[in-house]
Amino acid sequence: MNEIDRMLRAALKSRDQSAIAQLYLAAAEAQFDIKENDSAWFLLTHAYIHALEAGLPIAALLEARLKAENRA
Amino acid sequence: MTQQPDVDALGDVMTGIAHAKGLPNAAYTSAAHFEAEAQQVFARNWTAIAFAHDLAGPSHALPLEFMGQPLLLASDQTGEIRVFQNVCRHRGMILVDAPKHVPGALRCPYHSWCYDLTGKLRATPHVGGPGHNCHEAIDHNALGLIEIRSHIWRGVVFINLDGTAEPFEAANETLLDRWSDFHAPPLPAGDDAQFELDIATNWKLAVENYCESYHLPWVHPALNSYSRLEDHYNIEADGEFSGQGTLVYRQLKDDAGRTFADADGLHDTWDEAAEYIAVYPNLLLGVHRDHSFAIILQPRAPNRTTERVAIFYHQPEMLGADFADMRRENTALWKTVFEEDISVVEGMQRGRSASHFDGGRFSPVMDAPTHMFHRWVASQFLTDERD
Repeated sequence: MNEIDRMLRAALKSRDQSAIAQLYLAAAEAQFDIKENDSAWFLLTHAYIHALEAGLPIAALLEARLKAENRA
Repeated sequence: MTQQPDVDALGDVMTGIAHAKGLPNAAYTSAAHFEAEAQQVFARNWTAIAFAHDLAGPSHALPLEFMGQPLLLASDQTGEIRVFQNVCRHRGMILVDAPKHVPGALRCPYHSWCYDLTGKLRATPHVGGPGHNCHEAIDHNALGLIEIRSHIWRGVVFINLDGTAEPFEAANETLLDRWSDFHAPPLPAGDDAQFELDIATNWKLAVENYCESYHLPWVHPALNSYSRLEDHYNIEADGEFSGQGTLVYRQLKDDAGRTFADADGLHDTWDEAAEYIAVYPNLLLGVHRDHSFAIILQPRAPNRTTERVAIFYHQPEMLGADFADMRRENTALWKTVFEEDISVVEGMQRGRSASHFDGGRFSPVMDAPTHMFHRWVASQFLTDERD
């Protein structure tokens, strides 16, 4: 289990929405870095949904990224 | 006629009070009648479901159930309150299962479709496949939460589930005019000014008992020292509400002689008057110069009702710590009164198991508000009467 996975499991357990969104985003960016785009958009979707639920400013940015790819 | 429980018995209710009988036993004991009331009585009228102050403030959501309907009370970021059916438009999952602060969006716990607090569908993750969060078949503008027509008056949230009732102000024009002196929104006073009573009775018996003064000297004997039966008067507005008023309201005073502050701009008639009105179907209201209260009747079963009681004040200073002891005393006084009624409404419920009881007769003088309520309930099952 990598560090992001470990931290994400802890954040999900403690229902820390901000951390969950940030960690899904970090995981998505890591997938983009290695050209695993399908996985990356899946993870970025999760970052967006948790950010939206929590009312985090980053939600608007993530939505814009998804819309730019016709994914939201 | 629709879902008519007993035509002949309802005919006996509709006749003049001198010869009328009350609603038949089945109206209080039958599960089928109880289910019929959900549609005939509650869905098509303005029904009280909650207090506005049940929501902790803006950006909150509160699930509740009324006559089997899963509802969601929600306040958006501006504090505007709406009522929705508490189901996701995707697979009908219950959306919210506990009161919560909603900083951003409501997320369905099943597939995470998200809605904002105005009901708009905001996100449908993976709906077009993994990482594809839109699809031409899923129109966000058409799939918002199902909003229920609602209105807030005197701190109470009303709904008209089937959307067919007249606008609230028109349906309640007579009462709004009657109590126009109490136009300012009442101020809820928190936990020391509200309580619940869980009662083994049909909701209608709570209404019937509330809207007449006939029982006061017998069930509330403490009133006899200053409030005679002849100091009370009947209040009747056919098809809308009924109740009773008193001409000898006595304000609560503390040891220093303080009273709760009056509402602004009251006419002199309210100096010693108070009125207690049952707003059909399920809201019991009381107004006094210095405070008011509301009782929402939540039918749980044919023989079970929860009374949610909240006391309100007219002036913000009455909500402070200076008046906390008086507020608690006032709450305790009303709780005593309403608890005194429990034995009679539960006794009448048990009496509805008497197979030869025929609905009972009314005092033509004292029971007019009660008979008016019976007629209204009966009329909800008689299409001709309602149209």
